[in-house]
Amino acid sequence: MSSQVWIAATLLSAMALAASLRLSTPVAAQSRLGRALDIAAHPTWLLPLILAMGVAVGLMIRGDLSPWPPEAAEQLARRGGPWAGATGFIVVVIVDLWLLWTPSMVARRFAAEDAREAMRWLPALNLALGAVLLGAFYLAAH
Amino acid sequence: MMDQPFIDQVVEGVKIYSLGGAVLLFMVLAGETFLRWREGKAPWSKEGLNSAFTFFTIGPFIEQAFLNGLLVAGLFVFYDLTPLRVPVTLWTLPLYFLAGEFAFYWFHRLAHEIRLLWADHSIHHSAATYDFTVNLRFTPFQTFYRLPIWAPIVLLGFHPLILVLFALTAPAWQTFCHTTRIGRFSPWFEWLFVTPANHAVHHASNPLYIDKNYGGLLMIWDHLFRTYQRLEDHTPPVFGITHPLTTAHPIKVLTHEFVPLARDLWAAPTARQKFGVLFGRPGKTFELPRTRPVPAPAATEAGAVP
Repeated sequence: MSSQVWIAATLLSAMALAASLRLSTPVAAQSRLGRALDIAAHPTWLLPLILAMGVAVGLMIRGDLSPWPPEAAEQLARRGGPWAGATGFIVVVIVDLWLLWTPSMVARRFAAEDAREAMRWLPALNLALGAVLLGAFYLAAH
Repeated sequence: MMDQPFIDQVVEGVKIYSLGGAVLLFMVLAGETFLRWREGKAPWSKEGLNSAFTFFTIGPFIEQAFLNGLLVAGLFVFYDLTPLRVPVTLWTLPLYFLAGEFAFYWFHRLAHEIRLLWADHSIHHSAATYDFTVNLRFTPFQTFYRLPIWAPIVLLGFHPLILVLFALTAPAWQTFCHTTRIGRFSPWFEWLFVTPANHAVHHASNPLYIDKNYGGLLMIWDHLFRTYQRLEDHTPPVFGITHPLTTAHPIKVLTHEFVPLARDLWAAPTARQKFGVLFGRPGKTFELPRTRPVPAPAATEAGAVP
């Protein structure tokens, strides 16, 4: 792929990272951040994750992509240049975030008042499950 | 064949994507189990257990290992009959994606609107709960009717393997929509994409919602063929089917619509009515009264989609 495509991919994944970080932070998810930040971190940018999450996790299971962002960046930079590396770094940060933390925050945000108590330990479960999976992926990559 | 190396790449990509998707499905199932436990419910509903250990073990393995191969082989018969070809390149993949969505839409719609096919597909819809375990409620015969429904698309020149991969993979997004735990999305997003709310409509048995929202990942074909229905705040979805199951016994779940279908087919007085029983619209064909009184549809455990 040409470097222009990788530059576009880097920008798109940076937006997806901003949106993921916003969803991962309850206060930020529910408040206005200012026009520019609201656009940059809009949930629309999560759309490419429908494809990217599955592919990235699939590659990690097969040991073809490290779950450690700097290593993933190196792997992709070797294949497609520095912008590919930057994309790889950001996508892996996003995947790590979604495996470790973000789903529990999304579930808590939308939980009905009477279901909040049940959600209290969900982040801990999310962290534990994510850590086990990422640990396994790390071993698969080495 | 000129396209072959690229086709191999696409197949490999879909394999990787499916592998990742399986891990994400495992995660949401673990979350669902945990939350049910924390909410004081059994970690797995009886329905969920049956789904996981009966339907999920039978269905996907047979389908992945054997039936999808037969489906692609069957579709190649039609591919060889047509002089038309839609090349498989990076630039035509969006077209294949749309064709896959179109194929899924019609497979799904006919599975609801033809009684013989509904007897199979209703297994997936028979759960009165609406959570991630519904994903595991597998229907055993769907591959067989995908063949005739997708053959006309292949006759337009679409490569069978790529069409099948897209038609099966993109709707996998629905995996993450079988939940009442996520709220409403932006109106434009709900207009364009399958969301938990859109798919809750699809799984509801309220008259307003019945036979709506067949899309896999996109809602565009529903808009085009006028089967789109948004989730209305004034009508919370009642999940399940219009003849609710009173048992979670796996054999009864598997056969719950086939038995009345066979009974009605036998009892229908004319050939036309027998034909109607098989290929007519559920609820609109010759039908003997159901032997058991029909209980009111069970409400969802988690209540309406917020």
